[in-house]
Amino acid sequence: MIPNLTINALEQGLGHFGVSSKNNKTVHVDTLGVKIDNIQSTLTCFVINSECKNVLQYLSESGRVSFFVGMISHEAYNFKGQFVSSEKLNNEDLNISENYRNNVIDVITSVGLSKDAALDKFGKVPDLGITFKVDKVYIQTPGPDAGKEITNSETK
Amino acid sequence: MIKDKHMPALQGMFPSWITSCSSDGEPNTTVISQIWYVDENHVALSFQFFNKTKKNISENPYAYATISDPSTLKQYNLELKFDHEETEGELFDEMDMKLQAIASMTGMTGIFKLRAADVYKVISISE
Repeated sequence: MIPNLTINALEQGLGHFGVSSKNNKTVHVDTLGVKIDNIQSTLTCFVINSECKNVLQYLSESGRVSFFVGMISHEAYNFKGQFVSSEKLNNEDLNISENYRNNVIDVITSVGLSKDAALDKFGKVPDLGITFKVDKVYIQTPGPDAGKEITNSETK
Repeated sequence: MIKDKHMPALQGMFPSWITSCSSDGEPNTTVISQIWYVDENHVALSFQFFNKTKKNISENPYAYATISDPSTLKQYNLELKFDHEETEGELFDEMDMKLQAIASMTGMTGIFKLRAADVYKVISISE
């Protein structure tokens, strides 16, 4: 259920993990890489635990997730789903995050952002993985298909 | 509420993020090109498409947004409540002109089109 056409954006795009509370308030946090499990149809988003107090609180209340990933090119997708678990990161996770963060630093400095700022933001090592099961995926690239759901027949 | 230190993050040099929520509890997180300074207690978002954010805000006026200072990538988180929309006037014209410039620079001419300036009250700002 993780469409192949979204893999590049998941692996290289800037990610934002949004949740809602039982009272329909919202909060989000930046992600520092993502692990894809196409068999379980889950995504594990790497975050910094100390930035996630409200995120974790809201997940415990409603569990609904909206995970946005977008590329510099404007290619973007939105993954909707249900919270599964949160756990400390293992070495495999940390390697995925390190590769992701190094790539993002290269990309955003190539478009003129300062290296110091990029390192300050993306040099941080995440310490928590939040896993959710994807149930719907939407195109978010600006244009006529924005908001269109990617259906099962389009996932290959 | 909005201070001088926040202003660089409201210039549209780096995208902003917003999370809204439908009346039945489904969140939606997305990127927006710019959050505009209106006055020290209000910001505006460009309404370009009849998208999920617009639908959600019509059902539930509260949203959470993040703006970034482009020189430092320092982020500020804003709790927002929709106040009103403007379809003409100084704010609308300024936003429309800037949006067309962004569209031109990013190859999105004809895709970015301002329908309204949606004005939100800023409930809080945090780092």
